[in-house]
Amino acid sequence: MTTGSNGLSEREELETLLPWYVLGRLDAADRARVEAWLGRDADAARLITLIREEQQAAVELNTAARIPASLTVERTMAHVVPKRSSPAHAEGNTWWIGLRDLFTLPTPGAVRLAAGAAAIVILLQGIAIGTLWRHTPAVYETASGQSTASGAAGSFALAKFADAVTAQQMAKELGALGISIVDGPKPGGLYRVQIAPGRLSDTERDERILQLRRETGLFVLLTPAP
Amino acid sequence: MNATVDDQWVMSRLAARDPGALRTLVARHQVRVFRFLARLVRNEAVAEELTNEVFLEAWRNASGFAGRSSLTTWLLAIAHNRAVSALRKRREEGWDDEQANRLADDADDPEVSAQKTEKAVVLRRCLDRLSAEHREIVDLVYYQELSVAEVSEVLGIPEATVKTRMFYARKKLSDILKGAGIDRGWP
Repeated sequence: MTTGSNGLSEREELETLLPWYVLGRLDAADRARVEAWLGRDADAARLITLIREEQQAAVELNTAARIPASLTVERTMAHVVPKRSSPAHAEGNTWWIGLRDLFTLPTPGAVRLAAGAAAIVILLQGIAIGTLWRHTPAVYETASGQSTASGAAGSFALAKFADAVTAQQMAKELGALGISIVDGPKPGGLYRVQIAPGRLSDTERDERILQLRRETGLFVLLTPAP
Repeated sequence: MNATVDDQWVMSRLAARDPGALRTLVARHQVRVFRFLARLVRNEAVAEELTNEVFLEAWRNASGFAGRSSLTTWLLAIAHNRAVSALRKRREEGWDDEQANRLADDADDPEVSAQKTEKAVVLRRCLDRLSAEHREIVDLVYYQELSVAEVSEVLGIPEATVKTRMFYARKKLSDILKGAGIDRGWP
């Protein structure tokens, strides 16, 4: 009996290949070696039976392992891509979070594509509105005639009201929400509204806007304004 | 085994930070990775935590996937390294497989003891008594059905060592079976 460099006899070396032979995962040369051995050694065939028993037991052990209910795709996704991990979140730039999430939240491809396209349209619309606002002279003043300069106290937003909202409903709801129109309408039906009497931080302002969007059906557009 | 076209596509999307690709990866491989880890670390909660870590590492290092191996092999290699670290930490904390085995034995009820008389049950229990290193290679070959080259890549050892390690794992299994009253006549 010869012994190889690994301390195994020639027969043992062939035996090392048997598990992969049974799996059908040997290359052609090794498979031919094993088959030649199986052809000349009647006892070798018995080893195949042992390996099949071992494999069945290993498969049963693996598949018997309980899969915990908490092991879900969603939880792993949340672990890997936490929603609140970027500096933008720390700064509370909720408009950016919303925009970014449109691109990054895992959704089916078609929905994600549509959401992405909509986000781009909204972003471009915002840029256009902002530009338009800066270059359009005021054509309307509130009854009080108060200054609406950017530097005025308070926090402001650009608003476009839903078509179905009547003037009476608008006045009533805006009053209840503590919102006042300070300028407008501008081309496109836009108004500059004061959403808080004091200067809010960006985070507070964004939260206030989100809250107003959620809690009222008044606006089709409400976005931060200088 | 080289990466399939599908594997390459998933990884290219993952490298581009596409969460949809991550979802695909997790949905396809999560259970496989969990089972591999659960058998190694013998603790469901730890295995679950490590499974999440595996996908986090895949997400972070997607651009490092060269496509020389399949995605399965790549993920199992990450899982192997995570498990080795966890087991090392556990040993440092004085927790070893023997302890786990003793606890498992203590937990047997009379019904389970009676079942042990069946050969298949004994075989499963003896497989469970192998060392972590031997359990791992047995699972990679028999359950994950990896080739010699793939196991070599997962474990980071030469192919010759893969063959001999599997051979000695099987010999050890025969020894344990003999101790349990089953002589298979091999080796």
